[in-house]
Amino acid sequence: MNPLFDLYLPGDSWLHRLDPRAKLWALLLAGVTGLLFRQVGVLAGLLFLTHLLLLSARVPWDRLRWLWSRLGPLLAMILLLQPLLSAGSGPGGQGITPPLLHLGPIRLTVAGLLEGVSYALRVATLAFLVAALLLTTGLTALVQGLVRLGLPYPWGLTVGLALRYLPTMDSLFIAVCEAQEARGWIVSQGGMLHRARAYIPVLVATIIAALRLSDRLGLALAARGLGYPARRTALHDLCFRPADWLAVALATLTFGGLMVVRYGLGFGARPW
Amino acid sequence: MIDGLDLWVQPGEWLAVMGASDVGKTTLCLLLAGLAPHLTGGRMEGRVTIAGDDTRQHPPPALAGLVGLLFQEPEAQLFNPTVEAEIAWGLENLGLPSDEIARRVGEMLSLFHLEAARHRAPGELSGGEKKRLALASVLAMQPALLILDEPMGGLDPAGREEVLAALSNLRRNNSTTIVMAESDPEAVAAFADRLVVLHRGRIALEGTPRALFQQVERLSALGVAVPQMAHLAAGLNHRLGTAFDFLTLEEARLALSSSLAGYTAEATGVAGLFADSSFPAYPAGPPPRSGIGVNLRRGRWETAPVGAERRSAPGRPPAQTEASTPVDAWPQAPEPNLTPVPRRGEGAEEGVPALETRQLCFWYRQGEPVLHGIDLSVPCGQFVALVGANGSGKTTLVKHFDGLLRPRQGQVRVLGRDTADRSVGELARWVGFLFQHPEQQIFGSSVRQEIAFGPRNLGLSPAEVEERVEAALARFGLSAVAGQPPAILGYGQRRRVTLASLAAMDPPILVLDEPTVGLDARGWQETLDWLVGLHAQGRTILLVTHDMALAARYAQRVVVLHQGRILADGSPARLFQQADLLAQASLTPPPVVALARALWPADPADECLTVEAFCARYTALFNRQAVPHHLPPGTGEAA
Repeated sequence: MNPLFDLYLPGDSWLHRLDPRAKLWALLLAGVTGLLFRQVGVLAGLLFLTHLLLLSARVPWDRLRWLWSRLGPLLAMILLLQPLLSAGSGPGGQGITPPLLHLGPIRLTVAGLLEGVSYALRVATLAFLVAALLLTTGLTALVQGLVRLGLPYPWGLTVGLALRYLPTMDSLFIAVCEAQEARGWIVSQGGMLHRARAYIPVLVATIIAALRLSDRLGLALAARGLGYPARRTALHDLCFRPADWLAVALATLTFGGLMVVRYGLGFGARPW
Repeated sequence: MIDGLDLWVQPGEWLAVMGASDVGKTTLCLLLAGLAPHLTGGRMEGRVTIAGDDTRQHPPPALAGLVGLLFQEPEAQLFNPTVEAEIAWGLENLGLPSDEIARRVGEMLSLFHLEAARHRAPGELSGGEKKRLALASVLAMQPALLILDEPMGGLDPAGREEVLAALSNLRRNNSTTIVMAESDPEAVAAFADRLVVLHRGRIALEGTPRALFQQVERLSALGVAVPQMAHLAAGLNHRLGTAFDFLTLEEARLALSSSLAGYTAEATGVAGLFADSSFPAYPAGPPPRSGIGVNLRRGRWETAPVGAERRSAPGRPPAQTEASTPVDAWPQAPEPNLTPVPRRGEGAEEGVPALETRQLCFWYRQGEPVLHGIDLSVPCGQFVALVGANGSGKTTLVKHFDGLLRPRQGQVRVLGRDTADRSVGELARWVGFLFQHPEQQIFGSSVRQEIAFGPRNLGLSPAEVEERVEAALARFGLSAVAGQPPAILGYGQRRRVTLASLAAMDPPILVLDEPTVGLDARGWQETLDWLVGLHAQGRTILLVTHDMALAARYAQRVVVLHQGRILADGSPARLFQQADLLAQASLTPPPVVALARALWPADPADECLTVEAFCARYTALFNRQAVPHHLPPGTGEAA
């Protein structure tokens, strides 16, 4: 399976079999949890649980490694910039954070470092949660789920296709970069600004290629009857089974419990 | 693009449309499918009617049950997670009951031999399987009119055979009216009842494939390829005054063996020689069937201003009305000197290979090994064809030579230098790399800027960059579009831009990944003329191709890759003698080689790698014997 073509991994694990509406609900609650908690330990735990979830759905390790490699640059940037931009702005942050480094307006503190880790964990958790949905839910089921939740079919299809073609955009960008390099462009040459400017034509070419692709896709969708004047049917219709209700109940209870911890006990508001 | 076109398609007919690149074949398909101008923009005059319904009166989705369109690139129309879901998607749009959808999905899976792939992701399929799936998805909707846009395009030999078999199946079991825009003359000869050739937006030639494919020179002038057997018939007719009109290998074998009784292996059939490889004896020009008709009357179609500007561009010849005059012919290439003059690269030592791999192993991050211990050495000045089925590792191997991929194990050397510690940009000084898809290689704001990008990166002076750019523009006939953004050009012109960009860098080694895919007959020949010219100047050329006729005619050496290993390495003549090996690598020899083997199995294959060589051999035999009684009409005069 080429992850550049599609994230979805066909399979029949329990996560694959779960109704997409149940998965969307669980994703929503887990995502909100990730956004409300800043505590590094909680976020690391959530990320760990997400990995366990993916492995239990028989998602291979190399796919997880691939996802980490794609997230790597973004996470590295967060870890690098966040501590410099924030010296631990949360309540009580100043108290535990004697500056490790003080250079003009830049002040590096332990709290700032922890905040950077917290942000990086949050981004990684959200990315892996979305990946859990996309790796185990085919486009058809995902769109059906969105439509059953009230979204008009073309909207649901648009969301599904956008997610489906995200990896394709990534591969297009890499292909154009390779083409530039193959004609003598040396990436490491020149200053930051020079390199940033060199990426502009790459972006332009990627956008043009993306537009071409979306143009062809639009024609293909119309040619195969998207918008045909008949009520759309389905080969395999969605069916909410007891296991799906159980998953929804478990996700809701866990979320409720975590909210009590977060707002009742006040735990998890700070990165430390 | 389309200008005053009148076209009728009879119910049940299989109509083929051919023409040069960018002549408007795809536009015609979109018009016939009712997608243009609704979804494409542009201006349309005239009418397109399908079974009496005017397409302008119906939005495209409403025509979905009536017309099916197979697009050229399957990736753009395969967006569902599994094969089953892909076939079902269109049927779900039509609002069919689920049991009917299930029935039709099963039927299509069986018809196109995709049962085993039912739950696989379309992205995992081979090129041939993807095309079959796209065809199944369209045909499942049971359209009365099926439009196929380049169904054979971009396929390796195995995929090509798969799709040919699928079309053959379709021909036998279905009465759908079919319009097929196709560049592959063998497919047209095998299936089409009628052929129209487009030129300047109109029909330049029309008739049965058998009748039209006899007009080899005229078709070549229009940028249309003809079956190699038709080339052969024309060559023999020219030399001997015969009147052969065969189109397929089997027809040629029968005609030639009967006319040279005593000099041929009478008992050897083509199928017997190449049982595993496929030269299916598809009947040419089957009878029309019943179905639905389509009618394009006085159609006129205009799109982007590129075409208009091209017509009126200064410095270009005025518009011609003679169908036989090519519109966008490149300037004539100089007659190539076929004696290679080795040219060493910068600083390369005497005797150092241009390209070399030692025990090269590679695997992608997520997958199985793609290359297993490749040992390959390409001397300076050699012309090498790298062949093999899709997925055999050809592109992966050649990407190592410009550093886009790095060996997991083993070594890669370019002009004696290890690539491990050199960037892609540095290696680009020595290795010019042509990617398979032009759209992934083009990023300049104008054609001129695009071509100048490489020479500038080489650190050349502005004057020298300018000189090289102008030379490349002139060489590839792009001067008239030099100021235009390359992204808006048609496929053929975009491919020329990529070739011109490569030419402007003037590297000692050229690595080209399927440079002729999507080119028309004229573009094919002109690209090869250019490469032969470079080779004559001493450049090293490594060319990835599925085109066995190209390998047979131009390559000094053919390397066969199979499942990441070198299966064979030697002269084209030696390779094409080994039918078992070819079958193992899912390759098929050029028809003329297969014919020579069928007629003269004891003869060395290197005598007949090309049509010209075959003609010479046949003529010699022909002149040695008296006029046989059963020669085709018109042969007596020459004898």
